[in-house]
Amino acid sequence: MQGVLAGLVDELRSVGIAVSIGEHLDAAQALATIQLNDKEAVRAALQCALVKRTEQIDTFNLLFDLYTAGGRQPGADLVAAMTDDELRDALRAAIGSGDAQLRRLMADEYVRRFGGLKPGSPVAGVFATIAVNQAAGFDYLRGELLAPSAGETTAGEVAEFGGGLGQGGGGGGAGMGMTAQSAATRLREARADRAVAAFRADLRAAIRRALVADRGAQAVRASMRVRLAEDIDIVSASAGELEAIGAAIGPLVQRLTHILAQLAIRKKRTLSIRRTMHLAMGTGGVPFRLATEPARPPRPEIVVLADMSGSVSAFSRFTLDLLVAMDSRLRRLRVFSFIDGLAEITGVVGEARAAGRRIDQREAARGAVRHSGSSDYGFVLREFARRYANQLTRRSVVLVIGDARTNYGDPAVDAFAEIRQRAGQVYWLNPEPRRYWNDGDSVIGRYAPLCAQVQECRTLAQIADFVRSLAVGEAPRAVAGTAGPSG
Amino acid sequence: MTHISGTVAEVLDGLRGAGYLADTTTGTVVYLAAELGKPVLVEGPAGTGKTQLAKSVAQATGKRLIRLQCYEGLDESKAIYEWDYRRQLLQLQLHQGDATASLSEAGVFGEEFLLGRPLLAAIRSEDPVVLLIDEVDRLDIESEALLLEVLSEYQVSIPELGTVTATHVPQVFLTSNNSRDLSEALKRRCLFLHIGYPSPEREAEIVRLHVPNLAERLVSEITELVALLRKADLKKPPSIAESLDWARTLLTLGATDLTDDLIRQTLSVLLKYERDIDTALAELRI
Repeated sequence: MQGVLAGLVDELRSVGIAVSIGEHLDAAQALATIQLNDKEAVRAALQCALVKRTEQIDTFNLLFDLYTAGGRQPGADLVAAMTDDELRDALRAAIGSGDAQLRRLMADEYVRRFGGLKPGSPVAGVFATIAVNQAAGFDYLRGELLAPSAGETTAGEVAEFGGGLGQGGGGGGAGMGMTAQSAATRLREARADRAVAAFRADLRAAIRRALVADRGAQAVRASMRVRLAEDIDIVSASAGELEAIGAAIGPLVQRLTHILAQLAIRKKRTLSIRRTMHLAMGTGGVPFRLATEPARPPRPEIVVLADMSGSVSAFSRFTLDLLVAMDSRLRRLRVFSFIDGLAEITGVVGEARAAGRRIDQREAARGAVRHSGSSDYGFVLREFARRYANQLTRRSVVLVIGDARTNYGDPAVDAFAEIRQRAGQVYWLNPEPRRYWNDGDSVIGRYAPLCAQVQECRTLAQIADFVRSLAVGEAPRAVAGTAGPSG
Repeated sequence: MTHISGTVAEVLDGLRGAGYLADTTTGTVVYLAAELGKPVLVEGPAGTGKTQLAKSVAQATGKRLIRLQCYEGLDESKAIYEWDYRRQLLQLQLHQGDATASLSEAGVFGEEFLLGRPLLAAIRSEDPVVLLIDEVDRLDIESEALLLEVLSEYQVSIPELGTVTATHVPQVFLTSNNSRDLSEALKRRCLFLHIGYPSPEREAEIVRLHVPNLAERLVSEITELVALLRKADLKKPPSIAESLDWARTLLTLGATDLTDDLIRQTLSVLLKYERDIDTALAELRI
């Protein structure tokens, strides 16, 4: 078992889940304490010792299942002897019953019968997934589950409904006279959807088990390309991945805002009686040295300039989510969107946060387009310096999110310098890959020397790096070293 | 072996006795935490019973619960210990006439001048305790360090006095809503437990346990509906406690069936924002 554990730990590390030696030891100790023939107990024991982040639990479960994929279940022979029609009836009963064991048995049989997995077929099992899903006929299953007489659950419900009617007459007031209840219908739909989704997941797991039995865990793991939310390239992320990113934004923004707050100038401290008296004990109660209260968290003003132009449009979707998340944690946040014009969208962001919705990209870009709709950093910076620079103070932290592609216009470095001079700090997040910086019309190298830090931010991990480097306080002047001045 | 498996089951039984229905994962982690003497970091959305878990463990094991509520700006003097400077000053006054020798530091820095705060109280306790460190994510990241010594060594170092080590290892639960990332140092010292919203089936069991007289049909409808609403885009998804409140409301009203009208009238028990209620009604097509 310890060998298996070591293998699992290696796998976890290889997909980017850091497992310390102490945690490895904890897991080994946990295994020694529980009963090893209970798979769920083993899973719980390893998970609580090895995985310390909610987002990583799915990845862990996937790897754990690969490592512990077992042999055939009891009852498999019985199911294998059924005809296709009988199997379909059995599935219909299984899917409504909520019996996970039975569903798993069905899923294995469907994959065996319809998956068409032969030794040597592609490891990812995409074709098997399609074939099995087709054989299962989810639309039909859902329809069956919704039909009033189908499945155990619904049948039982009808019986109970009858009983309810009897009582309703006596108790009264529950509105039993109504025939079609929309909420009840909606609930039945939700129940059917849940049952179908559960079986869909069972089928996916069954395919993985079949593949592991054939090819071994290593090969399957390699082909599945387990990706963690924070490593996904935001620009090319799928809808599901975007959702995972959205969930990961929260904690990141929390840290970002906290640290940005720390960067602002601290207020004068007040005298602490308690601490002063404590110091005075060493001198017989005579206060020779004064002590102050710890610094209160400063409340800085964060000003964000967000590029909404076409060249970063895939990224600006994420920028807007980031801004809404920041707004939920900062009291003083001002947001400007720009393309070749500048528009303040602080109100839009605040409203979106209060309403709990996302901002539409077009909504954010409204007012940011002057003529062409291709970005003009020169005009935007001059405009910002002219209209808003006098509102910046030493407590302002300016954050620019954009690719610094001026379309060969004037970069207006002097205007940026003025903004820099008035603000407390200036940071730049560039969603372009670093290798394209200062290439073509990118002038990031011209702005970089004025920024406290310039950071490539294609993935959440990079943004997290940025936040971490701010926390350490020794912000590496990233661009000055790597990108150099542009020609 | 049978003895050991019995123990996880015993944990689950004990928790059930305290009114807490835990799943196998939770039971195993609570059991392991006691066996290995490690703190448990419980993470999950608000209203899934994270704090209640610690309370129920205390109740089930008959241990005293010591609670430290975290907030921004929590410091040593509120979390661990504080010197009672008023008494120290009085002590100095008493000895004013004596020679300076009697003013040695040991005179004013003794145990009797120490005000124990929750962490020190848990360490110094004569009887075994459950220590609940609630909403640890509200601490500033720097203040997290306050907890590290207690969590890994079960001791508190006081510069003027020395090290106080626990006589009984307290069973520690930390809860977090994941509003920010906790430091790796803290996470390394803990077992990690994620408590999400329960499945409708498990929540139905919880409702049955706490609202025993409610019609079975209503129980399943309530939990299905709550599960559906938690998936909807709500500002504050309904917690387990709110499901229970709703179940009690329906019981009080003597309802036998969840009709559209009834939902509309009582939804405010479950949802606390006007906008959420509108969203929910749209989701349910009422």
